[in-house]
Amino acid sequence: MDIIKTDTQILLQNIGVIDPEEISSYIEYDGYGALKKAVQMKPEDVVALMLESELRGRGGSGFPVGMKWKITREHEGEIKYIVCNANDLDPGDYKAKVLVEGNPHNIVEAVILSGYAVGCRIGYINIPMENTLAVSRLKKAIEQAKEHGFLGENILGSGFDFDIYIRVATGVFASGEETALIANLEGKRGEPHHKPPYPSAEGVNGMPTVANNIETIANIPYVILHGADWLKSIGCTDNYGTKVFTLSGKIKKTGLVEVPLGTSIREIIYDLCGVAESTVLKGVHIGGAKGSILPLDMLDIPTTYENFKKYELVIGSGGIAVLDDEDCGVELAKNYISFAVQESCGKCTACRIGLKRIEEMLDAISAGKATESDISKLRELAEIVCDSSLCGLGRNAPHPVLSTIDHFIDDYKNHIKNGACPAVAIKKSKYYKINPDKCIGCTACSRVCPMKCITGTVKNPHTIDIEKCVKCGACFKKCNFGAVEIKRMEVV
Amino acid sequence: MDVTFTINHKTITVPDTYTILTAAKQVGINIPTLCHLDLHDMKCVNGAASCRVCLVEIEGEKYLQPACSTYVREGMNVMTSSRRAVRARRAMLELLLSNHPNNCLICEKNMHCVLQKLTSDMGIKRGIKYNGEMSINEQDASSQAIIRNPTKCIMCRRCETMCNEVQTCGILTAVGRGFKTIVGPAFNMPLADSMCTYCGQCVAVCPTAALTEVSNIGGVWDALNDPDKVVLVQTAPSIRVALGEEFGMEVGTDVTGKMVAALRALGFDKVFDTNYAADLTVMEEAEEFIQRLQGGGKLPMLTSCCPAWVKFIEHQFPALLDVPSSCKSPHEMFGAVAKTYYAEKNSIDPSKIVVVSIMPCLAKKYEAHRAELESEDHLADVDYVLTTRELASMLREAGVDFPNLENEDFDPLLGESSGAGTIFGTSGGVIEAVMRTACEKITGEPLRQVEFKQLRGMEGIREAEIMIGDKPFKIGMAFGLGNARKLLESIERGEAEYQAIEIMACPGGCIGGGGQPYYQNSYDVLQKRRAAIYANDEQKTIRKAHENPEIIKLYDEFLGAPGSERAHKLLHTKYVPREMI
Repeated sequence: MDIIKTDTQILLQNIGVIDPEEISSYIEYDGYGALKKAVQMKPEDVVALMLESELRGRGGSGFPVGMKWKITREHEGEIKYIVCNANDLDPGDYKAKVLVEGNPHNIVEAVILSGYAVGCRIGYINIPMENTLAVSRLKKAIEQAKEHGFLGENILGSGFDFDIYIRVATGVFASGEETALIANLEGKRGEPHHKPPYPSAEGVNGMPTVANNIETIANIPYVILHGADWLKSIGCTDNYGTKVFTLSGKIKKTGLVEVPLGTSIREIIYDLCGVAESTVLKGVHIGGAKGSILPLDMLDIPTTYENFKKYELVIGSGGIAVLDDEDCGVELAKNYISFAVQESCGKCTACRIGLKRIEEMLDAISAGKATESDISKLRELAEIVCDSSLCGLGRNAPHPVLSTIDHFIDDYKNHIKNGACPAVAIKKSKYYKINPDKCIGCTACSRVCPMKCITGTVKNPHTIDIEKCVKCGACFKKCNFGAVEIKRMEVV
Repeated sequence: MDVTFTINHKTITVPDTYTILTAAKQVGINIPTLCHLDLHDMKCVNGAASCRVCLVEIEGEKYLQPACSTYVREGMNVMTSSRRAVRARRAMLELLLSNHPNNCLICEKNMHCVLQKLTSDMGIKRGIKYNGEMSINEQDASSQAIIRNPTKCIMCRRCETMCNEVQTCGILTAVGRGFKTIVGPAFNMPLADSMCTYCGQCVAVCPTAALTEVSNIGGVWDALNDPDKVVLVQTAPSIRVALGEEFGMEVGTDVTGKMVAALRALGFDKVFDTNYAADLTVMEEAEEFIQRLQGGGKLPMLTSCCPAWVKFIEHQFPALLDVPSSCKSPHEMFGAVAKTYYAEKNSIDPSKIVVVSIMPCLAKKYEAHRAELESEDHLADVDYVLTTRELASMLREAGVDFPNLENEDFDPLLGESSGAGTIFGTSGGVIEAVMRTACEKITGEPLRQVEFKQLRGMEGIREAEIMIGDKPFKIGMAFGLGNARKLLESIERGEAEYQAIEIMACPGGCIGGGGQPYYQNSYDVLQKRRAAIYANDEQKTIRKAHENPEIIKLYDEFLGAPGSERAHKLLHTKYVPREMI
């Protein structure tokens, strides 16, 4: 997974730099410095620091972390829990994977700090079982932390006891929802329940629980170590710190990008990732399976929580997919809805049956077996499912449908009329060609070509065999000299 | 703490423990519900909020909220019938219907289906807006008592709540994920392979035909129409206080006389009373109790007339199988007596006798097939079990005008009963009946007070003390298998100080059985049936089992004495330790 280097990085700057399997490497980069500082403070003061920093939850809601800590801390009773959700399974989101595999000690330290602030003894890290590397690195990190006295009994001589358990979860998207996650943790079926009660009041085993997203958690040690003012120096008003986005689609560089909150989408796409000259942009899809289309005339909006809410961009997973004229709005909606249908837990009517019917309607539209009135019927059902679902999955899954109808209505109309749309034709017309004037014959492209259809000798211009080419674009992304160009055949 | 809020422009004040649904009822607003089930007296509250039918609009909230699970808050402004709420409500119902076989005409639950009623109330008359793939699943007819039909399931989770939280059997749960989710035993194993006790409470609360009983009506019609067979019918105590409900009569009406007339109208050769057999059970069980008490036998003794409870203990507490009484349940005792004593007295070949039991129970359908409950000639004690609902169905089919029938009496020989026999139908009744006889036998003196009111009650788990002579005896009672579990665990831990314990699997005892007319969401119905049972006992001249002249005759002429060898052979049984799955 690529990380696109940017100037201001908090979470990603050490990924690829420190050795994730060596605690000494982490310590070299100020690792566990925050913990050392925190245990010298009173827990209430640690909470106050977090409140002052105004760090907001990166899972989507933007709820201030300090406030969550304060509420949970003030709940009566001795038993409380911290739950870190490293279970992001939205298609187009690799944040959790990179953060845990790349810097597991950061997560461990963050969970311990949360426990100290809130006043509890046990933390759970919820990780999908498919991610065996993350699980093994995390296990190792926990062991090493224990050996060094950062975890376990009497941490750093402060009298504070804390333990972390890894909870290997079945990779169910719905179990990213906090109440479903907690049910799963308790050994029950991973289904959400109606809220209230909220986990901060009644969570694991009915006890107050702080459930946080992996990105939020990863920020915690830095904030504690460097202080509230430091965080406030990054980002913009009410939106302090950075946000990690996963960029995919029709851009030159794809991968993780970390930027200060408030950076515009345009800057991220054009300046940091790059758009090829021949690319005809159509729009930007923000938020993965829960997200919406941001039309091209809105690329300058700053990435803030207020804007996310205003434009219903549901930024939790941070997925940004850049679309061009080959991308069909109907196909996009279909893909995301299929994902949601598969991942739905099946508890509530709206999501279990409603999303399925939406999927079927989209299939009919796509195949040219629907009428124009079906578009408004589809839109209405999508709205109703958003309105009526029990949890975030059903409430947000119809967003791609609603926004593609709103912004790419022509795709729908074309499909209804012809069972196809120009995007497909455009996609077919595209081909890659190596410009002999720019090619220096480094052979990098031929080495990444999965079809082995690029020929040429060292230091001589290379050629792509169009017959064998499957247009995966690997050569285009690999070439550092801009020699691979996108061409279009005449569209009749 | 009280809360003032607005609902449909009406301002009301209610306790903050109220949900919007409950508060709305106070001002005459009935928000439609489907999956909701609130039997808090039985500790059964289905809080799934999964059907999404009761959605209401709350000012300032982004999403619609389910009224059944949302608590009222100060200053809330609720609109239950706004365009947005109604649109969503209808859509939820239409989505459910789009995934439901719409063959109401030939469905088990036609006219009794909650989904059907809701569809009618919501005025969905000109077709369903949405259609597409349906989640079709195989029927599970593996057991002899309950049929599972997941295709008709609307995922309300009421059965899951009942089976897990009230009965603590854990047989039913959601299996699979998403559109294809169904409710069933783990790994979707056939019900007959699971630890299901067939208590039938899941059937009692299921809003559709996803869970129904195995039907034995066909077999009974065949027997009735077979000139070769002598078909005897017996009726459990609970039938006579509930059957009228199926014909629009007031809840809690004692319809004994009409019930007998109706059965004769159907063509049964003899109409007998299970209450008679209940008296018989009292005789045997009281004798067993006295022997254990005076002979240093195992105490406490548990009643064993509830087959769901018997299967429960066989699976879950196999080490305690010497604790229940070895008595068969009343209707099985009846069958044994019918095919021997009755057959002899009337010179009928026992293999020509067909015994039909009308029961409030589904577990009895399973019980009738138990290998332990047949004679040496492999004649089953009971041939067919029909539920109250099935009987009503047969009566309707035969065109019997039930409410206007003249009262008739049971046939003699196996039709006379004491009040003690009747109270078997409600929680606390069995043990009271047994104690009325045991007390007199132990003290040798007539009872000063025939009623043991301290044994009565509708709490799920109770204890009471009775005096036998000048010795106090502690009695434990429970209904609902979850409560039974609690009592059994205390026995296991050696904490139980009871001398006798009565357990019923169903709410309030048999009156709330899985085969009774549906009591859907109404605890009140159970209370009224219970009152009718005790009233029936009160108006009887004979109140104690051992004073029933036909019972006395049975022992004199045939059985000898309670606990005799013949009595043991015919009227007692064995239990089978079963696997914990």
